[in-house]
Order: sequence, then C-alpha cells, then structure tokens
Amino acid sequence: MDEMGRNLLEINNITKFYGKKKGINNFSLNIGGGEVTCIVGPNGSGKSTSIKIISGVMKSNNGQCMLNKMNTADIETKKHIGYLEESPFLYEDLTVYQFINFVFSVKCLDNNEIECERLIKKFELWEYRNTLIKKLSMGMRKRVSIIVAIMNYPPLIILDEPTNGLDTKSVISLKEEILYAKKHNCIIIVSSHILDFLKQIGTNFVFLKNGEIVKKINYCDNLDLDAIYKNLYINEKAI
Amino acid sequence: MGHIFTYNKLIKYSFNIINDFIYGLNILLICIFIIIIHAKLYNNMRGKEIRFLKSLGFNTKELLFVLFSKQYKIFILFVFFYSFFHQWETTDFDVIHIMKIFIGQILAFCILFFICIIYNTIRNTYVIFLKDLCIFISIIFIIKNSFVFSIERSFNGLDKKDLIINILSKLGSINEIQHVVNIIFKFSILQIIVISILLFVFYITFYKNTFEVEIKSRFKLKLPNIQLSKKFFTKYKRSPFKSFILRDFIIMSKKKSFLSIQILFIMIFVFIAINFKKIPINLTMGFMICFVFLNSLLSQELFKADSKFKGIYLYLPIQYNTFILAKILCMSVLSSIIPLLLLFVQMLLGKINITSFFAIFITIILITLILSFYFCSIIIAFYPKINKTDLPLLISIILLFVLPGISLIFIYFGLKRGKSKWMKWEEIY
Repeated sequence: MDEMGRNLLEINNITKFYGKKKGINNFSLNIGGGEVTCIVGPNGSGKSTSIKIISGVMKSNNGQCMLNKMNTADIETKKHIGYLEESPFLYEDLTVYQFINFVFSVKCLDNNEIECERLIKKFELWEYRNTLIKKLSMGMRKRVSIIVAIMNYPPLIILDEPTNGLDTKSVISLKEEILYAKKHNCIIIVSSHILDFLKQIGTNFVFLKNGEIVKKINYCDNLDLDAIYKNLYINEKAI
Repeated sequence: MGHIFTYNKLIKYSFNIINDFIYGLNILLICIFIIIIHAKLYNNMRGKEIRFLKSLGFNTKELLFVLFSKQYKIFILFVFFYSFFHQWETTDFDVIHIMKIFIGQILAFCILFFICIIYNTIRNTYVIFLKDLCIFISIIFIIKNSFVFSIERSFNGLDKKDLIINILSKLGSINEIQHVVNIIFKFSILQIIVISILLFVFYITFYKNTFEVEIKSRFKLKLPNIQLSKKFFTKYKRSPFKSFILRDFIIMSKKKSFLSIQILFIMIFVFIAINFKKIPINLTMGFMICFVFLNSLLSQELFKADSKFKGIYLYLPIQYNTFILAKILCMSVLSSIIPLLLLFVQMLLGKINITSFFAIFITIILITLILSFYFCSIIIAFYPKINKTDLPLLISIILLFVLPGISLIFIYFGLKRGKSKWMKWEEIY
C-alpha cells in the first residue's frame, strides 16, 4: 500500500523471452488503487504475455511484479488477484453456481452466498445457475469467467479481452462493475482491441509495440485514442 | 521314475518359458504405461486447467495431486493388466496375497508417475525425438534392473527381515551389482530394436503435433495441407503424382485404425521373435500376408478424403491413369513397408536365413501389388460414392479366397468402369 493507504502495483523491468525472441522487453509500470490501466496494441505486441506475467501465471526471465510489496508469482498473493484469461478455463461438468462457489471456497472468500447471488443476477445468469457449464453459450461462459475474476473485488483485477463474445447488455454490466471496483480502491488492468470501450473505463493507457511500451498517457476529455493508434501502428506501416 | 523326472522337467521348462514371456510382457506393459502417463501429463501440465488453478493460488503439491488424480483411468488399466499377468505367474489366490500385489502396484504406479513428473518438469518445450528415446530406453533399463519389481516382490514376501536384507544387498553387495550389470549387458539387441520400434510408433501417435512442429522448425520443412483445396492443387500442380502420394501418406499415418494395426502386428512380431530361435518360414509368410492383407483392407481410407469433395474432377489437374496409379502405388507401399521392415529385422537377427528372406520379400511385394490393384479397382468402379463400396469389398474378399483367379476379371472391369465414370465427370464440368 502507498502512503495514502491505496493498493499499489509495481512492475519493474519485466522481460520475457520466447526462445531467442523477446516477448516483452523492460516492461515497467506503477499503478495505484482506483486506476484503470488499459493495455493497447496490435496482435503479437505482447499484451497477453505482459498480463500473464503481472497475474503471476507466467514467470518472467527478468524483473518482478509486486502487489502491495508481495510478489504476484507467490501463491499467497494469488488470493488478492482476479484474473480473466483471453480464452478462460471452466469446469464443463459443474453448474454455474457450483463453479463460482468452487472459486469462492478456493480463495477463502467471505460472504459467499450473498456476493455470489448478486454477481450471478447482475450478469443475468440467475436462471442458468443450475445449468451445466458445457451447455452454456460462449457469451454466458465469458460472463461466468468475469464473475470469477471480479468476485469480492480483489486488490488487483486483470481482464484480458473481456468484451470478446459479450452482448451489449453484458458489456454495460461489465463497465458498471469495473467502475464499482475502481471506487473500491482496486487496481484494474484491461487489455482490449475495442478502443471505445477502453476510453469509457480507462484512467491511463499503455501502448505496446513489439513487446515494448511506446507510449503512456492519462485520460483527458479530448483524448482521441483512434488517432494515437493510427499514428503508432497504422501510419508507420504505410510509410 | 524316469517318466516323473521327464514330466517334472517339462513342467519346469514350460514354467520358465511362461515366466520369461510374462516378464517380457511386464516390461512392455510398463514401457507403454510410462509413455501414456508421460503423454497425458505433458498435455495436462500445459493445459488451461493448470494455469487456471495456478491463478487461483494452488501450490505445487496441490497441482501435483490434481495431476495425479487425473490419471485414475490409466491407473485402473495398469492395475488390471498387471494383476492379470501376476495372477498368471503365481499359483496363490488368497486375498492377502492379492492385497499385497495391489499395494505393490500402487507403489509401482506412483513411481512411474513421479518419473514422468520429474521428466516433464525438467524438459524444454520441444525436445527432439532422439533425446526422448534415449531417456525412455534408460527407464527401461532401470525397470529391467527390477527397481519396481523389487518393491513389489518385497511386499509379496511375508518376512520383514527378508525385505531389509534385500534392500541392503541391493545397496551394498558387490555380487548384486555384478548381477545387475550382467542383466544390462544381457539385454538383447532384439529386445532393444523391438522396444525402439514400439516406442517410435507410440511416440508418433502421442506426439504427432509436437513432432510436426519440431520437423517444421528444425528443418524448415513445410508439410502440405492435407485438406483438398484450390491452393493445394495450385501449389503442387507441377507434380500431382508426388503430391498425391505425399498427401495420402500423411492422411494414413494419422488414421488410428491404420496405426493400431501396425502396433498390433509389431507386438505379435515381438512375441514370435522372443519365443522362437528360428522362425519357421510358413509362420513368417502367414504372418506377413495377414499383415499386408489387413493393411490393404484400409484402402478405402485413401479414397475417402478425395471423395468428400464433389468438385474434385474440376480441380484435379490430374488424369485418370495418374490418379489410380498414385493410389495403387501408395497403397502398396503403405501396406508393405512395415511388414518388409520387420522381415528385414528378422533377417538381421538371424531368425530367418537369407534365402527365405528373399523368397518372402518377393512374395510380399507380389501379393501387395495384386491386392492393391484388386481393391483399388473395386473402389474406383464406385468412386466417388465410397459408402457403396462396403458390400462389393466384402464380396470381393470372399471371392478372393474362394476363386482367386476371378480377381483379374474384377481388376479389368473395375478399372474400365472407373475410367468411363471419370470421363463423364470431365464432360459435365
């Protein structure tokens, strides 16, 4: 925690190699509680790699990532992290309710029943709560994964492509939840290709290219993400 | 008395043969289980579930337990086969004895599991085939040194004193070490060759994707797309004959039915080779003909991929003769390649003499060619409606045994009908 009692995520010089190729290079960032950091970049720019390392699922070759002075790769820290993978894993033979309860109990979270019910209702899965996950549509499965990631508003919430497969209503619910988590002093990291969505939720934006941070900006009213994106990734290619 | 002596000797001799046979089976069984557990662990450890559980904060021990619990099907199979062979080996059928065997098997399985876990955690993402093979053979040697068996036998023995003495002698006794060394050097070339072939087949079956990625990355080879597409035929327009054969090879090598027949016959070959000093020519001939015949029966598979695509005649820059010859050649090679390899191994091991080798070699090639012509001509007569060839193939097989001469007439009419149909299609398009 910082001096003001906010959560603090410190990412120091993270580097990851895939064979001889660098996945990400010297990725450094400090994010405080109540901030929504959006990671932007084209395919293969290192978004998912950086997110996996920050969430502690993947090990980096260099550098470390500390959440409130605890390494995110440590097992104890995982309880304070909510992570949504790009293509998330779900136990197909459990019902929605069983699966969410399973994650609750693994993370030793309180208020299981109430919180679980609230989130299931929020994401309109209440009538499917006793349905097996394998019988759900792609969008519903995504909603289940989002619930698992944001439940109990952990200090660090990481969402990798959260809007993929979601309908408009669910996107609105997701936005509301992100903003609610923001108020609860959570650190939120989101990666997405939909710039409009990011603009509505983001407080700061990190642009990645070939595994390196090429631009960092904070939110302002006249922010034009499309123009920045074009400048960084499209115009340069045309030249 | 003389009779009793001969009878006892005979029983002892046959008991020894059965024991050796079961011992060999056990080694094979353990090898197979190691590979299966290893392959399953390899997939599980890199699966999404483990990543998900890691993100929830599962520690290494918990993850290991999850991985272990996922092996229960393999464990049941292992226990079943292992118990079966051991019951055969021993004459006791009391419950305590069975329980002891069971505990021994749990221990043996745990050891196999942890060998695989250790191997999986220390390996790189893509390890070349030779490295794997060397490690597997080393594991076989370890098993051969009765590491696993000693635990089980120790549990079978009632006296704890025996168990301690046994372990101590394994650790310290020079005689025992000499004995172990002797076993390693007595590991026959035949066993090594046979196990290597088996491992290779299993490796290809379980690591097909890894193997392909490995080949692509190391040798910069681009394997052709096995699906029929315009791109494929445009790319290989210049040599449709080669492209067809290559594609058919890839298709067949991925068919489980084809692979399982190869594995089955290789295993039969292993048992024949282990139990015969000199294999009779009739046995070898019969074995090889059965092998070739079963392989040829899978000929339908070669035509299936093409038949699914109705516009094939339009996209094919290939003439009827080239098409059918490519199929026949491909089928001949696929049907006979492994039987001929096994025959060659038999010859190298001195199980058959060179004259028999050449006689069988020529016979196999002739039979393969006849069968390939025969089955291909029947299929092409109905082509592209492959589903309709089931009954004609069945009848033709019966006729082949009853009236072998009729096959020539079938070949003639089949090829002729196939050609006329091909011409009609060309006219339509």
